[in-house]
Order: sequence, then structure tokens, then C-alpha cells
Amino acid sequence: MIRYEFIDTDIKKDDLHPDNIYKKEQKLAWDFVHDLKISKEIIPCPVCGEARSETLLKKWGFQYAICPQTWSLSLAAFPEEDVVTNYYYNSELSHFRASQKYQNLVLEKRKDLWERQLGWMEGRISRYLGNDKYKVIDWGGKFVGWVESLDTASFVKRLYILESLPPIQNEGNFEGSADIICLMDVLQRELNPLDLLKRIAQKLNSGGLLIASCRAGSGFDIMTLREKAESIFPLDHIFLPSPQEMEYLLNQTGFELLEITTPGLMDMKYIKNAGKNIPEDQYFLRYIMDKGDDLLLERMQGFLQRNNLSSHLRCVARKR
Amino acid sequence: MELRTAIIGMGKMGRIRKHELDIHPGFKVIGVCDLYEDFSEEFSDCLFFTKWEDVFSLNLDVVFVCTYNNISPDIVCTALENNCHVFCEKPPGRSVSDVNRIIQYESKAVNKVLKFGFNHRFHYAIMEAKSAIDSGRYGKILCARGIYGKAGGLGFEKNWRADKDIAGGGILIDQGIHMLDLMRYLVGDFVEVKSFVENLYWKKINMEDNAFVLMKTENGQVAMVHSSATQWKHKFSLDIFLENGYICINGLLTSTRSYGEESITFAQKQFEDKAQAIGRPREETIFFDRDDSWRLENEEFYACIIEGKKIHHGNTEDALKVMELIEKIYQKSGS
Ligand SMILES: NC(=O)c1ccc[n+]([C@@H]2O[C@H](COP(=O)([O-])OP(=O)(O)OC[C@H]3O[C@@H](n4cnc5c(N)ncnc54)[C@H](O)[C@@H]3O)[C@@H](O)[C@H]2O)c1
Repeated sequence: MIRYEFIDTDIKKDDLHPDNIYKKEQKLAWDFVHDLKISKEIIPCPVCGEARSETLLKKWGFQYAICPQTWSLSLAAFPEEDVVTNYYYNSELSHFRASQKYQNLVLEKRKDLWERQLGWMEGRISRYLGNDKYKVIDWGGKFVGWVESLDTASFVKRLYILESLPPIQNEGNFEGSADIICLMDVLQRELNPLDLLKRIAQKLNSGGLLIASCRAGSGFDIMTLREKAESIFPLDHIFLPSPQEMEYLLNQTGFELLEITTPGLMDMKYIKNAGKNIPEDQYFLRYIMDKGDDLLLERMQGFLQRNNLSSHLRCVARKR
Repeated sequence: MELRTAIIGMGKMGRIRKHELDIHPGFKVIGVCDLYEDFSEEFSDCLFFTKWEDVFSLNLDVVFVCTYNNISPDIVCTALENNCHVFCEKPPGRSVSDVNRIIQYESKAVNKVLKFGFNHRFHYAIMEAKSAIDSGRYGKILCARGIYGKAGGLGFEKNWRADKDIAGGGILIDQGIHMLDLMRYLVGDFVEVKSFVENLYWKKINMEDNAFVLMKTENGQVAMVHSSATQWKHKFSLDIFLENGYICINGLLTSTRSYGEESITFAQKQFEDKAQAIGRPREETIFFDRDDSWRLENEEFYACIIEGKKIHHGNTEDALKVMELIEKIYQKSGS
């Protein structure tokens, strides 16, 4: 298996979650979920079926439970499917996110990040499939800017859009299969990850590549900040696999995992931003935040990346 | 299809090959050979020979040659004459004339596959580098710099590698040959050579323990190689600078891990307008936890035999070109 480390000093929390819109998104998400009726029972792990008893954190009335087998994290009890559909397609939050103002701001903030992401994808595609142009599906996209950048990538012959969120239009009737499917930050909002990956496998040529990214529940900032991890909230985050769970999931759905890495850049920055909100019993974190400097945080982030311990994961898998 | 296989030379490499062949479903090792009869107890699952000529009584499909450099060309030629596919460890003999002799035998052998063991091409960091270069993302190669060195060790001056008649040369032909092959593979063929081939420390061997080489391709790309047997901390590094970025390989996964973790770093060039500080661009490093080079080498060899394809990595042209380079480096030293 391979591991990654990035040196990237440019990225800031504000690039990913600009304060002015992120606060509003969280408020709208809270409005939607805070009085939902949720069962108190803890369901088994949605992927491996292992019974769960331990919860890591509670957010807005929702508990997140740990799978004892793989250390993945997901809601302890799942809401009904139509509640989730409403959240993503009809809620005030979804309208806000579909607005031009929101989409333009995200584009402005993430343009460089996307460019780098495409550079990385180009490298992985030329490594595993060769230098050519391919039929590509973007699955579950939610940012217009991302889809537009992907459309111009050097490896794209024709881009199709499936299961997107507003305001992105789906490709009407997509028959046949693609050479590459991109699933960027989609898994985390899934109620049934196994089903999703099976559907994806059906639309991919054998030997084709699945390139996926998602938040990892086993990552450092989530595990340590717990409730205080601002970047995790229902129903944006339903299922947060660990690298081990991701591998299991891919194996179960007809994929051969080629690489899985956690190139996340933000764990230490999220913790630094948490400031006084770092849980009181996290003495070590409080100590390094008090006495350590930015170089120490950078080295720690490098360590997390290199050892698959960061909270953002990405993988490349080949359909068997 | 299971190929009836024999291995000649059961030292370090012969054993590695045997292990890999035993787990490959396409090969069946039916005989092994070594000068040391004592080894026979360790290989009770197949026939043991002490004279390499005798293995050909086995009606073989494939022969692996893992002996010393002085004898390997004779064995390769005889194996080809006996209608076998042949895998031979690097170096392909001790000289260009050895390779030319092998080429003559190869041309007479009908539909036989001959491959030389340049396994470094199958290290994941090298495969990544090749793919990144070929993708054109970083533009054309400007220059490259490679260091490959080991410490020699306690028995260094007594080993067969220290005997010029057997080895044909010092550290350059033994270990440096891999770096030269990689330079050819990644950068291209070199037409100009300058070098210092030196004995700096291991005075009992009458060959080089360090070689410093500068080479230039027809297109003006320059490569620098340092091959060393006085690298007290083992080292493998290969830096390639291209028009729009760079690729740096550090470390090489081996069984003892003495060359460190294997990693490759890529970066696009960034000046002050893009980077926070000039000379500190955004880098991406991949670390590899596995060395599958022996297995992948075997897979290429097997696929070429079964599918009747030409060897891409370690064919006779590669062998000839790298030996020509080595001879030039020896000849040009100091001039
Ligand atoms: N690809 C690589 O990275 C790599 C690494 C190490 C060695 N090698 C190459 O592999 C070959 C063997 O090296 P090694 O490290 O295994 O050496 P070694 O000394 O461990 O083994 C060589 C063996 O060959 C046997 N041998 C020599 N002449 C023989 C003959 N006439 N008949 C039968 N057996 C004979 C010796 O008894 C010895 O056991 C060399 O050519 C070397 O350059 C390649």
C-alpha cells in the first residue's frame, strides 16, 4: 500500500469553509435537524454489520457511534430516507447552497484546490490507465465550479453527471458505462454506502477506475475534538468511514483497492481553530497548542497524512 | 501453462528467484544448481546439480542464471542453444563483447525469450516516475542526478565481487549498473560521457569503489551518477528536473530496509507569484510500503513467453546499451 504526504502551506480553513457562509449553513442545518425524532437505539455498522455500543460524540441530538471492527463513525440511528432527501433537495439549506451567490463564493475559494485535485487525478489516471482521454462520470457532485473544472481536465473525453445535488443537472438517461467515476465527498452523506458502491460498479467498465474522497471518522481532529469538531454535523455527515472500512466496502462491491491515503491538510488547523473549545481532558492537545508553533503543527499534520490518520481520505480503486 | 524451470547459482539471488518462482503458478522449479553441494539439503523439493551443464538433461522450458558475472554469458548461450527461455541476472556478463556473443545466440534461438534482471525498473517509485515523465505534465527533462551507494562491509575485499577476473569491474558494474539503466530508461540514451572511476578506500580490490559520471544525451540533457562502495549509510536517490517541475526519488525498499523508506516527491515549479517562498513549492510525496519488483519482473517474463511478446524491460538492447555505457565510463575516466 502507499502513503502520502503533502507540503502545502497555502491552504486555510477559510478556503474550505468561509466563515460568512459556513455559519449560515450550520444554522440552516440545525434548523432542519434539531427537532427531528430520532430513535435512541444504536443500529449496527451500516457496512460490516458489526453491532455497535460505543458513541464518540453527540451533535444536535444525533449520536455518532463507532464500529468496533473498523473504527468507522456513523450516525447511531439513521433518519428516514425521505428526511435525508428533503435535507439535500428541498430544504432551505439546499436552496441556499444551490444559489449563485453560494456557488460563486465556493468557486472563488476552492479554485486552486480543485486545480490541484485535478492534477493529482491526472497523475493517478495516467499511472493506472495511461495517457488518454476517457469517458468520465462525476457522481453526486454539488459544486458547479468543480464540475466545470473537471469537464476541462486533460483526461476527459466526455463528462456525464449522475446523482448530483442542486443546482447541478443530471445527465438524463445515461446508458452504458464509463472508464472513470469520480465520487468526491459524497459517501459521507450516504445512508447505504454498500448500495451506492454497487450502483457505481454497474456504471463502470471492468478495469475502470473509481476515484473517491470523503471525510474519515477515524481522523485526528474528529477523534480528539469530538462534539467540538465544528466541521462534523448532521445530516451533512452520516457515514464517516475509516480507511479500513473503505477497503472493506470496496472489496465487498467488486473493486480492487489500488491506493488509499489520508492527504488531509486540516486536522491540526481545525484543532488550532477550536482554541478554548478543545475538550478540557485533551491535555496533550492543549499543551501543544499552547507551547507549539506552526512548524510543529505542520510536522504533526505530515505525520497524520503519512500514517493514514488524517480525517480526509481518498482512494483509487479498479473495478474487477 | 506450467513451465519446467531450473535455477543456476543458488546464492542470494538464486534463493530470491526460487521463492518467487515457487509462488508463481506458471513456473515449476524442477532443478537447481550450485557449485556448493552443501546447499542441496535446502532444496529437497527439486533435483540438485553441481555442474550447470547437467541441468539441461531435464528437458527444460526456462533457465534462471544467478551465478557470477564471468560464467553467466556461457550459461545464457548454452541455454538458448538448448531451446530454453532465459532470465539472467544483471550484469549481462563482464563486457560488451559478452553481450554481443549472447545476441548472436539469441538471434539463432527461435521464439525464445531472453530477459536480464534490471528489477529496479519495477520498484513502485520508479514506475511512478516513468508514468509522470511520460504524461508530459512536467514538460521535458532537463537534467538528472542519481546516487546509489553501499558500505562494502567486512567481507567486501574477499567476495567474488572484489575479483576483477570474475566480476569484470567494481561497484559501477555491480550496483551502479542499475542507476545507469534507470537513467537510460527515464532520460534517454547518452552520447557523451565524462568520468572519474576511482579506488578511494578499499585498497585490496584492484577496481573502483567509487565512480563519478557525467553523461549527455543528443538533446543536451545531462545526467550525473555517483556509484559508491564507501557510502557508509546506504543511499539511493534519483532527482529529475524538468521544464515545469521535478521528481525526486529517495530510498529504495529492500529486505533489510538499509536504503530507507522508498518515496517519490513531485512538484510543479513555483516562483514567488505562486509559492509562499521561492524554492519551497507545494510538494506531494508518496511512500511505498511494498517491494513487488521481483514478482513483477517474473510476470513480465512469463507473459512474454506465453503470449509471444517482446521483452520491454531488460531486453538485449538494454543490456548492450548499458554495457557500452559502462565501458565508455571506464575508458574515459580522468580524461
Ligand atoms: N537485481 C539485483 O538487484 C541483484 C542483486 C544482487 C545480485 N544480483 C546479481 O545476481 C548474480 C548473483 O549474485 P548473488 O548476490 O546471488 O551472489 P552470491 O554469491 O550470493 O551467489 C552466487 C552463487 O552462484 C554460484 N555459482 C557461481 N558459479 C557457478 C557455476 N559455475 N555453477 C553453479 N553455481 C555457480 C555460487 O556458488 C553462489 O552460490 C550476480 O550476477 C549479481 O550481480 C542482482
